[in-house]
Amino acid sequence: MNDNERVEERLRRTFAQVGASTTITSRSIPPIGLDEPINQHSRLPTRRAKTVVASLVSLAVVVGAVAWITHSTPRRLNVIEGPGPSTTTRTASNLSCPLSGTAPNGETYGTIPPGGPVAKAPDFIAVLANPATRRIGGYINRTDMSHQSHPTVYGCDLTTIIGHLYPGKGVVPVGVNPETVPTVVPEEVNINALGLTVESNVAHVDFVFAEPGSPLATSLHRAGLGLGDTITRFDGSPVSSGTQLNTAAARLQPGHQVQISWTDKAGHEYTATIQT
Amino acid sequence: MKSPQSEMEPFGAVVGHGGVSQDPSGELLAEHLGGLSFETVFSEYRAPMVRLAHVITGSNEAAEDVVQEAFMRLHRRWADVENPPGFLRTVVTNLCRTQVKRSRSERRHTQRTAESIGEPELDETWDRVCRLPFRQRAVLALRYYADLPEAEIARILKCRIGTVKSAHHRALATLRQDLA
Repeated sequence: MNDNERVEERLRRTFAQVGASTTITSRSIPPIGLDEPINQHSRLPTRRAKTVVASLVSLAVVVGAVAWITHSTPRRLNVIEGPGPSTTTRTASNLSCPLSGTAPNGETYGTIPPGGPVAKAPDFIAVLANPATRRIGGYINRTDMSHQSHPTVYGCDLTTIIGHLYPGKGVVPVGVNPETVPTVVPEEVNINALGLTVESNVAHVDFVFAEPGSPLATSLHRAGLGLGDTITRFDGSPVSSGTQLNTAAARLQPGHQVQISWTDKAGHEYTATIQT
Repeated sequence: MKSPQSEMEPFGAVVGHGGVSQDPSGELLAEHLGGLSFETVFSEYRAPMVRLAHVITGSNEAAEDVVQEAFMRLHRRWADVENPPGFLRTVVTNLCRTQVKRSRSERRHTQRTAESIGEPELDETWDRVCRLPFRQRAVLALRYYADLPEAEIARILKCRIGTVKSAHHRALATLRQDLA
């Protein structure tokens, strides 16, 4: 037995002896100074209630974290075919306001007819695109559409739009005929409906739209191009801005074959030839 | 080596209902006490808590007061406390801290030796222990009397495990030197 063990052994014996020698006097129950009766039955329900509250708080934290991550992280969207969500929480009668006007960039946007699939979407943001230029003009909050006679049209950039993409909120481009465009939610984005939205690799964020359902959009989708990818070359020319891409895309004629190169968020490079 | 404590009234153990099992974390105990009344906890745990307080403060009288205060606090928070023994242990230890500091400020510990416990070797050990700083005394008492793990001691003393280890190490070093 080394010194430490000897000391430890003495400590155990000493403490045991001190503990055993302790005089325990009789004290009243409940202890002195209590002025409230003890509720013996309050313990269990309170503890249960506390557990329930703790569970709810934990759940709220998890849901909040997921919502925050989803809300703040641009991500590549899964693409599926088909109409938008079937859940309907509002009816056409809720949408009484005229949904047409002028976007911040001065362009006129169209109308969302009440009763259609767009109007019935559970909660979405309308991404307004001028039918002629296919450029986004702004977006409207669904709640604004329901409760304001003149909904606010916000200017938009890609970050804003992606930032609003989360389950329960969808995006719908308003083009020539919104009725033909299914409302989409992030987990069920139909790139053909969105057209093609591409973030440029420069600070300026811009958009290019392919006609929803058009051969170009379909080809790009089939080629694997997704939202958030960066197009680096288009039709033989390097692309350094969204405007440049818009211009190049606008020049394309139906049936034209074009080679396109892009990188995804992980930095992987891809090249494909697509049919417009 | 079997702890002498295990032959006595268990500290921090599940008592009653025909069994005794060590439960330093108090989890089993909390479950066990789920439907028990304050009076039951008082009667079952007052004596072990007084003994613990005695071991930490070195004063039987102060230990009684400390434990009485601890039970009053437990009573006030009865509906919120999920692990009464753990709560008591923490409150008792921290009240002992106040008690020890008060004793120090009154210089009582320098004017009188520790209470005699009957055996010269143990008296000497006890006297040395009573001269240690509070944290070292508390760590020794919680470890060698209450048989608590370092993590639980750290929780009770509201410090890091490393602090517990260093206090333990320093206390043993001091005692090793004093008792050589």
